[in-house]
Amino acid sequence: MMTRKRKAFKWLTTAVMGAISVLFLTPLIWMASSAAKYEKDVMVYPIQWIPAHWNFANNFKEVWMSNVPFGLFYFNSLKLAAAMTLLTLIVSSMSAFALAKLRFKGRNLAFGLLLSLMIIPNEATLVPRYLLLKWFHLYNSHMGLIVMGMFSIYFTYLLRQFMIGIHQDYLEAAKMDGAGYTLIFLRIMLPLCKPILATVGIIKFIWSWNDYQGPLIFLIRKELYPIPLGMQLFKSEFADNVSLTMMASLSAIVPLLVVFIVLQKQVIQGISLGGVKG
Amino acid sequence: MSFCDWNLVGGLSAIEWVGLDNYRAMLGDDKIFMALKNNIAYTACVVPVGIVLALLLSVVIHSKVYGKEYFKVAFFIPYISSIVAIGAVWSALFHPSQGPINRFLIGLGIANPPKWLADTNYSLTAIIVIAIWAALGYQIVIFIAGLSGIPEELYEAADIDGANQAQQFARITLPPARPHAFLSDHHHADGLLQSIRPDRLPDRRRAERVLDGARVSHLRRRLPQFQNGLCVGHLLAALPNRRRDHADHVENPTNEGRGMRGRTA
Repeated sequence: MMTRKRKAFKWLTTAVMGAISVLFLTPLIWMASSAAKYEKDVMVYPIQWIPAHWNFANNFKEVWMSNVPFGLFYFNSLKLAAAMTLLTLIVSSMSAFALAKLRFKGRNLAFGLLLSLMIIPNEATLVPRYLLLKWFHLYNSHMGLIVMGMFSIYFTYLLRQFMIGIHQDYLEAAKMDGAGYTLIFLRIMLPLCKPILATVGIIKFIWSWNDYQGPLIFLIRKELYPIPLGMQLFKSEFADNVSLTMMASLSAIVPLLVVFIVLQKQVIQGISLGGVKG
Repeated sequence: MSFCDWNLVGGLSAIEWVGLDNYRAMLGDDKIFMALKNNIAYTACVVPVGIVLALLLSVVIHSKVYGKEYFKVAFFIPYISSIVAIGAVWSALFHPSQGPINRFLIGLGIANPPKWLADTNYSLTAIIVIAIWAALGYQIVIFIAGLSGIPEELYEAADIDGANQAQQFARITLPPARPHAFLSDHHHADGLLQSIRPDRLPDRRRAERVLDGARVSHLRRRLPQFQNGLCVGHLLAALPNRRRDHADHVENPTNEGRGMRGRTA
C-alpha cells in the first residue's frame, strides 16, 4: 500500500517537474518558434507556439545568404574551436602527465604556481595579452587567439587529478619492459585517460565556440569573426527584425545542442567531476 | 603598469611613472562606485537565490522523479547556449511594449508593467533573472553529483525511526550538500561575474550606466583610448572574489579527490 502511494507521488512530482522544465525552456522554445515565423506574427499575443504561417525556409535563406557572411562566421568558429580543443588536449595532457607522474625537482612548486595563476581573472591580463600579441604580430589573427586558447591551467589541473588516480604499477610494469616516457605516455596514459580526455575536449569545444571576449578584443577584421561576434554584427544590422535575429540565434546554438545532446553524459560527468567553473 | 601613465600609441618609451595617480583617478570616478554597488547587489541576489533554487530542484531530480537524465539535460541546456543568442532571446522577451512578458503582465491586469531592460530601475532585476536562469543547470549538476554520494540506507534508517521528509532533508541531505553549496557558490559568484557579464547582455548601451559590471565594460571603453593604467580597477574588483575561489580549491581537495578516485576505481 505504502509503495503504491509512493509510486503515485513520484509520478506526480515527475509531472510537476516536467511542467517546470518546459517552463524553464520556454525562452528557447520561443526562439525556435519565432525563427520559423513571418515577422508580423512574432509579437502576436497570445503567442502562437506553432507558427500559423511557416516561414522557416525563407528566414533561413535570408540569414545565411544575407550580406552578413554567416557561413564564414560558422567556418571561423569551427576552425577556432577545433584548433583550440585539439591543442589544449595535447598541451594539457602532456603537462598533466609530467605533473602527475614524473619526478623532478620543483614539481610541486610548479604545480602550486600554476594553481595560484588560476586566481588571476581573465580581464586582468587583457592588456598584457594585447601587448604581447601586438609584439608577436599575432594581433587580429586567428593564430593569436589559438595560441592563447591552447593553454589551460584548469584543464591541466583536471587531467592531473585524474592521472594521479592511475596506479603507479602500470608505469612500473611498462618501465620494466623497457618503455620510455614517450611510449608510456602514448600507449598507457592516454588510453587510460580516454574518458576524461573526452570530457575536456567537449567542454573546451563548447567554451571556445561561445567565447565572446577573446575575439571581441583581439580581432578587428570582420572576415575573421566567429559566430558570437557575427551574431552581434547581425543583430545590429537586422535589429528590428526579430524573426531573423532568432533564426541567427538558433543557428548559433544548434551545433552545440547537437554536440551536447549526443555527448551529454561526458559533459555532465566532467562538470560534476571537478566543479568546472564557467 | 597600474602605477604608470601610458599612451600606447607612443610606444614603450612613453611609459611614465605616475605613482598612485591612477588609483586617485579611479577613486574619484563615481562610475567605479556605481559599478561596484551594482556588482554587489547583483551577486547578493544571484548567488543565494540561485543556490536555493538549484538545491531544491536537484534534490527533487535526484530522488523524487522518473527520467532523471532528461531533467539534467533540460536544465543544462541554457548553460551551453551562446551568450549572444541568449541575450537576443531575452531582450525580445523583455521588450517593453511588444514582448511576451509584458503582454502577459498586461493580460494579468497590470496596466503599466516595467520596461525591464530599457528602464534603469528594473534592468538589474531583469539581468538577475537571466543570470539565474542561465546558470541554474550547472548548479544542479554539481549538487546532484554531491547528492549521489549519500547512501540510500541513511534515508531508510530515518524512515524506520519515524523521521518525516522535512527532517530527512534537514538532517541527511543538507549537511553533506553544504560543501558543495559552498563550492558552487564560489564558482557561481565568480563564474557569473566573469562569464555572464551584464555588459554582454541585451541593450547594453541603454542599460550600461546601471549595469556597469566594473570589469570589461570599463576596460573596453579604455582600450581604444589606450589608457592602460585604469586596468587597476579590474584587479581591485576581481581579487577578493578570486582568492576565495583559490582557497577553496586548495582547502577542499577531499571533495574533488573523492569524486576522482571513485571514477577511476
